[in-house]
Amino acid sequence: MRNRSTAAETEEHGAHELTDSPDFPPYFAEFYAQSGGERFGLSLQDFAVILREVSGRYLSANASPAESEELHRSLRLEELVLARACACGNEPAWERFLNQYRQKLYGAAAAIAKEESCARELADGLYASLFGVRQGDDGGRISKLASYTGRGSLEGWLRTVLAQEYINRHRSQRRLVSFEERSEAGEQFEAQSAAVIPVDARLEQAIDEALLELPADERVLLASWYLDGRTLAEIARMVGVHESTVSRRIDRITTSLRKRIVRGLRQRGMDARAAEEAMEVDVRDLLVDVHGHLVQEKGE
Amino acid sequence: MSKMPYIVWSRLGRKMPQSAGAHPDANLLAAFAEHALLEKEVAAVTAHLAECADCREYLAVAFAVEEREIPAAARPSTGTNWFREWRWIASAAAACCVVAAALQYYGAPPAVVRSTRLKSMNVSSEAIAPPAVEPAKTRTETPAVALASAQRSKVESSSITKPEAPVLMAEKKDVAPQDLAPPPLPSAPPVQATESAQINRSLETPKVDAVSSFVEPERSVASQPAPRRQELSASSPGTSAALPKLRSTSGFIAGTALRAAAGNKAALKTQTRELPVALWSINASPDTAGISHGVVQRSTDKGQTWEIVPLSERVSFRAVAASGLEVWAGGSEGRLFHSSDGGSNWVEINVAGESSKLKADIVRIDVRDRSHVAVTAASGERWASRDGGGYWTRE
Repeated sequence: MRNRSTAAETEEHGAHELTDSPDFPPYFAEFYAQSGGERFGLSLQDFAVILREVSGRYLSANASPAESEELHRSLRLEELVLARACACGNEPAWERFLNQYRQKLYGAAAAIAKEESCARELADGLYASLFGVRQGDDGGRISKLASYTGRGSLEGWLRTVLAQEYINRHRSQRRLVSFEERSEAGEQFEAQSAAVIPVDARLEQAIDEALLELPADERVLLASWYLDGRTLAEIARMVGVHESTVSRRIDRITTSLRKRIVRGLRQRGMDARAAEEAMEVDVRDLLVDVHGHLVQEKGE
Repeated sequence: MSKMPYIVWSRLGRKMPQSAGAHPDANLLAAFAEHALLEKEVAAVTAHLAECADCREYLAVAFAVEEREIPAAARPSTGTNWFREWRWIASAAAACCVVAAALQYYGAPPAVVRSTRLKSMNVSSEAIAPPAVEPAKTRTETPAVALASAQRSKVESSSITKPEAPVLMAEKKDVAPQDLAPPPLPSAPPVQATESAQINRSLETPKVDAVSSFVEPERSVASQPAPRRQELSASSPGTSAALPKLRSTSGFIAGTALRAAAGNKAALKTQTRELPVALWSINASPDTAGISHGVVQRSTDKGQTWEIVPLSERVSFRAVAASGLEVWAGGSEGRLFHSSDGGSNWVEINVAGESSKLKADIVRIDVRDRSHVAVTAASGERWASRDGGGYWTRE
């Protein structure tokens, strides 16, 4: 966002060039009015730059004007303008941001971190990065708000950034824990050379084939429930559906998956009884922590 | 829930032949959780989440956990029916404020005068004894300061009107964030209405020595929704001067407005004053009764005579509401005007959300206080604002 006097000098000259240029869609002016950018001193030209930056980030270089318009129409324009104005240090924008989002920021941090001091530290740290305490090469502040693109709500973006910061801190602290300390804590590690319970190759093939057939959204539900250990309520909030819907879907997916695996086993020459027996809960379910095993398997 | 054998989940955790792709950034994850992605993007992000436990964890931690309860004093009301719940309370509270204020200065409650309801116009809400103050002749101050200026004649302290440096917010923890208004920025230009609606007339009423129609003047001054008006006036974007400072604990610096205002309260209590009454209506006077074009009118003699408040010739007003010095007038094509000084100066408010704007005629206005206002349109739309008109949501 340019200094107002500079904008005043060039705006009149640039305005005609801007609006007359072939890549300045007519809806830009309409969106600019909706965004309320003028109240923060954002010119139409600045606004157009922001929109082009967003479309350049999420669309391919040869995206059609219709695709660009579709993307722009999905943006949270008011929040986008607010965030970018804050990133430029616009004080009315900051006042509005604090009025609307301060409480939400701390509430989200409290929900994520649980412990009050940790939550406060998390929120304060994010606030500092939003404000921009680091200096860029040009001496200007580097504000995290400049990376908000208006795809989702500003509040949702803040929550996600908080979550990422919290998780990344937690992960980095975990990596610093030594092997000896983890052993002393009682964690057991399965040796790589330990005897592996033989599995019928047909079973593995049938399972892989059935899982491949699952749509991605169903795999997300199954992974969240069985691998990540999320509750139904948590999954419901993640995907934005009702908890009962999640429960019914997981049940339906699991039942369908079993049938597909059994069908696949039978196609591979296994008889019906053997196929059903193969799908029974095996002894490893009773002895092995599934989640922990999968974490090790993935090399974390 | 059906059980599946371990081997199935061990295979589920393995990488699928199709690549998980690049990790979606915070913008995409948030948009995914809010169903705001484009269709093709949903497929891509979902496919990634099916394989990436890290991104699933980000999403779960960000959106799966419920926001912890915040103390009631600090949490703004989010109920959709708060207006229905609060209207009667607001009316009673406004009446109590007037009575209490009068008792402070006169020892006897003033008569509470309610605005008249016209046959054809819906004048919503009661304009309960807003004291008509002598308006400032020239508006060289920002709104929060302008409100305080009426009190300045007897109030010696002026620190609430001229903070030396811009501050973000007061650190008073027992004050809800929405009740805290940022202090006025120094050297802000005069407020200009979007139309030729500068009402700057003095009322033919007894001069008011000091105005304190509010039980808590400190709170009322601090609660003035300044940013909206400053948005309409020339702002100074991109300025590097007077950046907000950070403190070690909360990250916010103490505001001078509330602290200084607290010192004025004792001084205000000793003042004497008279309480003229202003009524607001649409086409109340006999000469306007027959016309179809609605005009806002004000009476300071309990309805004996009415004067037209010329806001806009192009707008046919259909609703007016007042709460204290906060006056709202709305009419055709969703046009809405607001005055925070009893009608001396007005600004037009844009009732619009992120992707839509109110275009139907405003037929009803409900005002709870200087921050909370709702308008109802002839189309049935209802829009509400919790920050004095700066930000609107369609209910």
